[in-house]
Amino acid sequence: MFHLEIDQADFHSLIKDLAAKFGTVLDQNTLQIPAYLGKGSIRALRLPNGLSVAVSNIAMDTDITLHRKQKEPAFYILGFDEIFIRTKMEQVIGGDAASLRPPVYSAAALHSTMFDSTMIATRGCVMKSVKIIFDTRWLAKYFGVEREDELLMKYIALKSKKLTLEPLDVDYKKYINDILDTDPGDPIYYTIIENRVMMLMERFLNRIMEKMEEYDLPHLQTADVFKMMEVESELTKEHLSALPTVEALSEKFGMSPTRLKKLFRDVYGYPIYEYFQRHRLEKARSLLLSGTYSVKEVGYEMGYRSLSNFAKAFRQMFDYLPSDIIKTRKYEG
Amino acid sequence: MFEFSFTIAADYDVINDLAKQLGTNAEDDVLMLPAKYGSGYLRKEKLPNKLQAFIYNFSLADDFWFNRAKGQKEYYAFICEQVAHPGKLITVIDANRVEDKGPEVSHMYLLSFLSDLRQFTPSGSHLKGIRVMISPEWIAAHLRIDRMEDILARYLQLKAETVHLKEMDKESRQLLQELMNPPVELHTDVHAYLQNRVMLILENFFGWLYQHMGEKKRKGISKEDINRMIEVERKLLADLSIAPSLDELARDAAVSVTKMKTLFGLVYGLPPYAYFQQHRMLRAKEILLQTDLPVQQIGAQLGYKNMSNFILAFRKVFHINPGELRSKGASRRKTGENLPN
Repeated sequence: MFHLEIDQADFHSLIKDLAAKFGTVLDQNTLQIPAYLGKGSIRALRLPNGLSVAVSNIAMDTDITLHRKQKEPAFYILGFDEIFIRTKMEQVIGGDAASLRPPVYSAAALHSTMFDSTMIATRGCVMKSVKIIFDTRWLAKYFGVEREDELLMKYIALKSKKLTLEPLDVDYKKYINDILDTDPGDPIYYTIIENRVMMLMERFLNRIMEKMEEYDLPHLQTADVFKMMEVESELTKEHLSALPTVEALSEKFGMSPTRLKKLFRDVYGYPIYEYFQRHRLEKARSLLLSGTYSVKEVGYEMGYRSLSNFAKAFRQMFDYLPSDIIKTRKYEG
Repeated sequence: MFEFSFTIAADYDVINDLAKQLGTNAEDDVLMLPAKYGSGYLRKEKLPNKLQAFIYNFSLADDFWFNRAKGQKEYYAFICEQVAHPGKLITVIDANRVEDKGPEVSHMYLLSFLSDLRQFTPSGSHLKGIRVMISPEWIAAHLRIDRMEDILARYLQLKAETVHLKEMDKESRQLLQELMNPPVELHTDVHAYLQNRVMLILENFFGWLYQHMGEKKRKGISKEDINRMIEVERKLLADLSIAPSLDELARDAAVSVTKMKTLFGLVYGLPPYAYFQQHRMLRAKEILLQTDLPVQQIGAQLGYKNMSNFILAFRKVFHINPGELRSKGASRRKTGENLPN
């Protein structure tokens, strides 16, 4: 078990202190996780608009506890996390414990350092995350959300996970993956990251404030939302060649097909098949954009048996053909 | 003919000066065009990241000369606009003169304050777009590009050559559309919404700029080919109710169909038909939000005999049914929250 106390108000200082503790050196503001803890890295960025951002991709090889003491003046930490959990993971915020069960937690959440927080991750956790630190002044300046903003305060103080969980859907994941995948050598790297961080924040703030205003999710239980995260991860996992049937899913998750379909739509906004389709085509698009794969390879990888079906579906969503991406790349050399 | 002349400077108050010359007042940095000159608005927005943006959407009822004399200090104006013009559009940058016969241009470009600019826009034109004032310091701090200065210098040397214009692609048109119509149900400050989209448009432009100017030598697409494609694009969008045949388009442009598809993709980022369809649906959205025409009639106007095909095509682009979109738009009108249009 590894225990870490943190109180840094920006990610640069945090990874600097961690590097000193681990006895490693930072390379281009990136901390490599030492082998005795796990694998992966945390990159700290200071964006031109003043945000401190950490981009991490980590696999834990040991149990770890992170403790952040309550701190004044308080600041916010907004996290977009996709975590694959092998045994268990726990979050304690202001004395309120929430246990995240395997296999997956994939959500956005906003915390304030007004409260103590502890995160306990066990061996085998794999985490992709984008975390953002800002304070109330920044929030007022950039998003016009004031310190006294009632909705936001209500959200922060909420103990009920039911309302604070904001599951990551295809639209969030698109921005998150762009942030994780953009080459730091790109000439406009910071602009690309900043723009996506801002779009993530815009969407998150608007959605939670809408939820707080409406309080209209009476039938959604926390356990159900967690279950839907599992269903979502089942639908979006790698090398999925065919969509599992609703019957198979409902059997696996122990609920009726009707209920499963309804819950999924409530949490992710799309019917299961449409969601699967959007995910798979977004994924196909990003593979094609990477320039490493042919249309044929991508089509088969995404589980299409017929390339013309792939092309048709792709065109339906993006209004151009998969081959157009390859062509455009060719022109632009 | 109305002539508006001024000398550019970073702190020049274009809105109030123009208002005065038009014989009106601008309140809160919003200038409503007096009926004598046209209709619509031009407004200034200070974005949270310190950029100053002008957002405009207006029609002209008179010929208009815009004469901007060069300033003293290096500064940049970024322009991203769609102009529908029934007559000749003339742009003169220093000694370079370009004419555009219309009926529409939609492009983005960057201008230095150290150049003279004269622009003629004929009566009956409709202009929709943004202008963003950018200081060299801002570019240094926000784009963090070491080699940017060199690239900017090379870009600005191109002056009025057609190639220095970046044609707006699907994404930037969509962003401009979003900029003109912020959602009603926004909980965060509208300036943040505007800023995020302005920044994505700037990213689109500077990414392109870097890619093109950063290359050691520009790849072989000639000015003639670009002009040909601009012509093809015009014909393609001339009548949104029916897509012209590719054979016909290629014949008119005097290139083979294959070459046309290649060139068109190069200039506009999408193959011709997909591009056509995209614009057809954007038009549908516009009619939906600006008129009370029944959905079926809008579909028919855009060449859909079958209503469900229209709805399907619309959903593909906007992921929402036309009817649903309209009811959202209607609730905005009711609460009176929409921006002057």
